Amino acid sequence: MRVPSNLKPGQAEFNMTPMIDVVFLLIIFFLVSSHLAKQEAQMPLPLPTAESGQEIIDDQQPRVVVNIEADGSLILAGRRVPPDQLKDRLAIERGRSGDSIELRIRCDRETPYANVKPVMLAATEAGIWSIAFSVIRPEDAR
Amino acid sequence: MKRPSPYRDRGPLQVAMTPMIDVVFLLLIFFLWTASFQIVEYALPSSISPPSNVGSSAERELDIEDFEQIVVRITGQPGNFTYAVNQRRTQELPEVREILGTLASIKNDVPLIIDPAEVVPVGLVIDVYDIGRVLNFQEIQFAVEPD
Repeated sequence: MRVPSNLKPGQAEFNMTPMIDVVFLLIIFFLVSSHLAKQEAQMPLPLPTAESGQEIIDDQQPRVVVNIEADGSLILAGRRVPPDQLKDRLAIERGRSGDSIELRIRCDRETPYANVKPVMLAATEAGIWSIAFSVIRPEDAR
Repeated sequence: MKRPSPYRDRGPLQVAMTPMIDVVFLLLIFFLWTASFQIVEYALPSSISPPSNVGSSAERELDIEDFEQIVVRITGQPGNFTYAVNQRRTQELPEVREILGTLASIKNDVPLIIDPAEVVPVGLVIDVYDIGRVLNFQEIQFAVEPD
């Protein structure tokens, strides 16, 4: 039996609402997943303050981020790394990404310099000479 | 003759609330997720100086007319740190800024080398480094001695 239709012959009607719903859901999905990927590399730390920090440009330069906690624990790519293995890990990263790789040090502002110095030494021994510290503006630290 | 209205076949106007609520909730979630509650981070580029650079001028008196490099040493114990800009000692960071400002106004193309003791919190080290950058020192380095 033929189902009667409300539409007159020759009239087509597009229901846009479900399509908009789905498109928005997809947009949110991709935004959230990229946001979470970024957060993974940014563990919360009380960073040092500086007025002269440069805005971080999300360029194509290869970068390796080392987090240094107050007790001196090193975290590379979300995992704790023993200090004696750091040089080898950085050398692997340099071999993978090339000489232009930058080491970004994110450290607790209260950690002693003794915990940061070995990281800088390991970087130079691994052939990474471009080093930058992550900082925040003084007004954001209050 | 009365012209027939094209709207005569339409029923009463109905506002469908459900899709609107759907879209409003989606927009709400979208803006909540994209709003960044994180503090913006900045990068402070740095470079490392081999330890041999530090020793040569460390013994010299601060001579305003003739200095080849400026060494800022940070020493002391937790809670009581001393800054030494070449041979001038102070415990106040603003005074370090003042001394470096004077030196930078004379010559800001000499290397500024920061040599902190191991117990110094990295926050203080970055403070001195930041002063050097604000004062436009062209070359700022950290002294790193291998263990």
